[in-house]
Amino acid sequence: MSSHRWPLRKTAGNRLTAMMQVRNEAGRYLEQVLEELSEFVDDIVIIDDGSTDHTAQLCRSFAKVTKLVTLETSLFNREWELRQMLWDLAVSTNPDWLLSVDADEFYEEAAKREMRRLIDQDVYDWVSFRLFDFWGGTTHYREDEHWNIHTKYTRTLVRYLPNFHYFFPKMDHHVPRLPLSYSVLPGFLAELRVKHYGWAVSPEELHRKYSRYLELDPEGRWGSLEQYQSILDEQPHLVEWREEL
Amino acid sequence: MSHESLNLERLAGRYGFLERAGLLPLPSHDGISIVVELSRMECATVCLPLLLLHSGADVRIIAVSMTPDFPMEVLAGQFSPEEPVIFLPYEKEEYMPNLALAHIETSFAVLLEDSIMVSPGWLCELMWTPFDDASVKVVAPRSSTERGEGKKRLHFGTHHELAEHVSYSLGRYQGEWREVEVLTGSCLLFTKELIHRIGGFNASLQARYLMIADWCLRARQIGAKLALSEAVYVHAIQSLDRYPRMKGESRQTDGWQTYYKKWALESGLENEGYLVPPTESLNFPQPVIPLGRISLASPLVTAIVYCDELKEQWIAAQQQSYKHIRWIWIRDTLVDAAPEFPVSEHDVVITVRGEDAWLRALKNASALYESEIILYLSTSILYEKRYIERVVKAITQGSADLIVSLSTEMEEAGVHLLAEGDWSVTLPLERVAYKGGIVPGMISNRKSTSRQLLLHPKASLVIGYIGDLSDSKEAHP
Amino acid sequence: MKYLILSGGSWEDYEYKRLLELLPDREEVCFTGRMTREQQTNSQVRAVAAADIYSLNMKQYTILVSSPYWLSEVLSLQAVYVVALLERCPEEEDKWLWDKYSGLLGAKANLAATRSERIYLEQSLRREGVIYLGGDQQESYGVTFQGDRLYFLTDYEVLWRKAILNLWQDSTRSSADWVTIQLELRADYYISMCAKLPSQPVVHYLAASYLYLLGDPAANRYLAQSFELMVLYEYLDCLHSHFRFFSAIEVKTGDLETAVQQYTITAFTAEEKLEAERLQGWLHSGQYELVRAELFRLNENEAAAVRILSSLTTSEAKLLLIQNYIRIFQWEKALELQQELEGSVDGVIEGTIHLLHGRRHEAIRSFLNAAGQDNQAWPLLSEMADLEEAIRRLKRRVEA
Repeated sequence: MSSHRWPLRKTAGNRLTAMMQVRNEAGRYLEQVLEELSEFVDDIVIIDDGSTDHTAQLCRSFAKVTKLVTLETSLFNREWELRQMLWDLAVSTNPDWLLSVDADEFYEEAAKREMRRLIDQDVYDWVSFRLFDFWGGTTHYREDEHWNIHTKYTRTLVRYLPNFHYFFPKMDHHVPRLPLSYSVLPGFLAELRVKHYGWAVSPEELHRKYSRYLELDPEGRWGSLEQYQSILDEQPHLVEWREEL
Repeated sequence: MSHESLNLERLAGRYGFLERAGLLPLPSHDGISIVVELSRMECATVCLPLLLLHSGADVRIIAVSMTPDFPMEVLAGQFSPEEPVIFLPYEKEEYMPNLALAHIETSFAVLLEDSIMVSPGWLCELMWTPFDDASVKVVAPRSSTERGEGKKRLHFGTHHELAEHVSYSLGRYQGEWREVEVLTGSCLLFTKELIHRIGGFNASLQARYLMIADWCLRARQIGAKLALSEAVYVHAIQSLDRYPRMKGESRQTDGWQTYYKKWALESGLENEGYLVPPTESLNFPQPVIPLGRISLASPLVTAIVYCDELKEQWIAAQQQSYKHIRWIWIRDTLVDAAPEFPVSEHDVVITVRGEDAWLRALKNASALYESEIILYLSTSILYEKRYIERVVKAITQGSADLIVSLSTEMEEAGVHLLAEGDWSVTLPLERVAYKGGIVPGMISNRKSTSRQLLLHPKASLVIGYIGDLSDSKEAHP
Repeated sequence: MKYLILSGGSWEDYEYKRLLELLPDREEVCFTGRMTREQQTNSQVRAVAAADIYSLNMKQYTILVSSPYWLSEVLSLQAVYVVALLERCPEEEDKWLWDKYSGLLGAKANLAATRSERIYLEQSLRREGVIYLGGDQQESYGVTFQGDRLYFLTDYEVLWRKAILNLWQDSTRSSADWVTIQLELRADYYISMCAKLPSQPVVHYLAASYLYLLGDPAANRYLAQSFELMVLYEYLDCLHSHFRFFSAIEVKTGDLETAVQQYTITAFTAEEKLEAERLQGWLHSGQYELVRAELFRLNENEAAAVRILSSLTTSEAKLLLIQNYIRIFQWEKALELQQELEGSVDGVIEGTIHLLHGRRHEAIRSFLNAAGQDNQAWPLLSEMADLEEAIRRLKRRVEA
């Protein structure tokens, strides 16, 4: 009897576990992300995908990081395996809710405040947020033809239901961060926002990213060549961010 | 079209018409034997009558029971004694078709399973193939039981539909056949000559189609061609017997492994069902599987004992090392006044009165009881302890039909006889042993001394001799 | 054995002629309706007028019915052996009426037969003794002499004969071999299709369904594949149609608590949540049989539920049994139990039974009771009229 949990959907006392995969994030936003996460989640599980800097050390320095697995060699080209591994790791902690976070993602204040209310209910099993791609700095986000992810919803917060059937599509790139199976369960589209600082970097860094993409995917199989091209836009359309308190 | 080819066409047309109308006899002077493997009663009750109906006038059927519980008596009851069907009941330890093949007397034979349904014209077309090409010794029709090119999977609602289809096919493809590398199916036509050369089926392969394939490959080894008819189709009735599946049923893979090893096939190809070995494998000699009964380790010997008088001492003295013996004692009460002596259950005492009756009994005794080996013993001789054992060995291991054991004083004479090639030799009956089932020759009485019997062996027999202590040597006519 | 045919129309339109030729122990076959002398001779079937079927001794007959509108007749004939040939609703018929009375006919029959695989699966979940009159094997599986003709039989024709022979034997034997044989044939066929069509969710689902009916845990694997394919193709409305099925498989072949969890995952409406709670309650109090039966019912496998519940004696079990009986059109049994447990009965059900037995006045009375004070009787009385009209049309077609 004790191997199963009752009730299946708790309306109170849910634990929130963050899950991350990181690679050479030491000099970037990782520390800040972990600090902020530590304020509103209960646990953090991380897979270090073959970092060559002191990323692993950094992770270990945070008390809420309860599981850290370091891989000798990166699984970058086998994204499906990496996602599956991170999922299995997270699930092994018998979590209630899981929040999938990247090393450069920040939840706005309102989202952090709402978090508990979002998960302490039994009506829906996942939540999507609006993700904003900040550009060139942390004050503006980009909005144009190729950069409009904030007009859609990205699922990052899910209830873990043991005995559900979870799977990731077996692809090498662009594998969703959470099992596709969640699509059939009821979910909630929140108007809460997440700030993505991956592109909030210097023009030189943008250029480096562009070169990397082209190297990996010269024919545009995994992404659009036009979008890669647009990374180099001299005058991207930017919108000022207004933090709502 | 030239005048000649037009004429040929006309002749072919006429011939084809006669054949399809069933007006032509089979191209074999001695008819045909059909061996049917009986395992499904529902099919057998239909298969046999169809064979009798559609195989022409001169057919004989040998139906063999493939399982101990096949209701053979019930099936046999459906046929009148005039109908040319004989039934061989199931025998444990035997592979029944091999047993049946030994019974074949006609130049051609067919082996098929009782699930095969035939229709008019099926046989004639198959039989012509070895006449089209004398090196063809095995012919198969298309059916769902052939693997590979011969496989044809069809369903017909009624026999009538089947007959129509085959009739059409015969009309269209009559005379067409092609050489193939292997056959595996439930219907095969072959020559008696072939089975006498390569023997029977290797039952250790377990799966029937593997046994057939192996046999066909052995046929190719001696230069025989295998043919697949384009025109003839026979309808195999599949079985639902493997359903419902019992839990924990294991699939038979042993047969495959044996087959693969035997023919030097690369392992791993079993999954594709690949059966044809590389051509080099055909050069490795394969053992002949004898037809007829599997020779037991210790065959039954019928020892016919004749005597002037039967002395208890003789009996006591004859403690032969070989045990599997049925003793037949022939006593003439006119000369032998000894009281009755006890014999064991399967031994026989034939009591007669007078020399003529005695001689007759002796000549007929061997025909009364079936056994692998028959020998004669006279109470006037003291045989050494291992006499019968040595004789049995000589017969089972050699290929002689008849063995004479020569005592030392006879040996020289014997060798002399054989060297001269004088085949009107007579042999002392008390030193003769021969294979069951053959007629050894004529028994006569050496008039000079009473009750000393001689055998005049049949000229066609292969005679070997053994000395008192030496190995057997063989002589051939 | 003698056979009586109650068809959906004329002899010309009768679609089961070959099955009639293959009937086992075929002493006599009577067709209700008109046939010319030639037709009778050629088919070895005797024509019988509808009015005359009552003069036949039903103890000696097996009835083959292929229209649900013969049901009243079948009931009043009090036939011992009834084979229902179930069909999809023809275009000209009212679907609701047809499905209801086909359900009732199927429930009444000793053997249900159908050429529709969808109906076959549906019936296999509702009752024992269902045969599918179709198959995918390319070869012949049996032979038989009927009269002077030699027939080769398809796999399902072999089973058709076995199923009918089995009818006359001791019916207390559970699930005959031939049922299992057919389920295995179907399962094998779909498993081979899955190998040929690895991205097709439907064949995987069907493979899972047949494996489930066979109690084979391999069903899980195929259902998982089907579910994943549905999600990949974005047919996202598959939680109830695909995922819930796992719970039924789990009941049969795995762990009961896992099964309840799997059901609970799919429970969102108030009613479903109550169900989930009830299941959890029974689980905790050790009433495992009720849990198993309910999970089967929630997965539309009422036959499995009935098997469990009919051997239980508590009133709770009996109440559940009533629900199942109603679902699978075993309405007489439902009424009996209702009477026993509650003293009162469902008016619609009672009314329908009366109607089928030709007791019009009682039927109207029951329907009026069921309708209650807000005068909801009209749809029920309208149904009565529709049924009577459908029966009249049938008789006209048969006599034509």
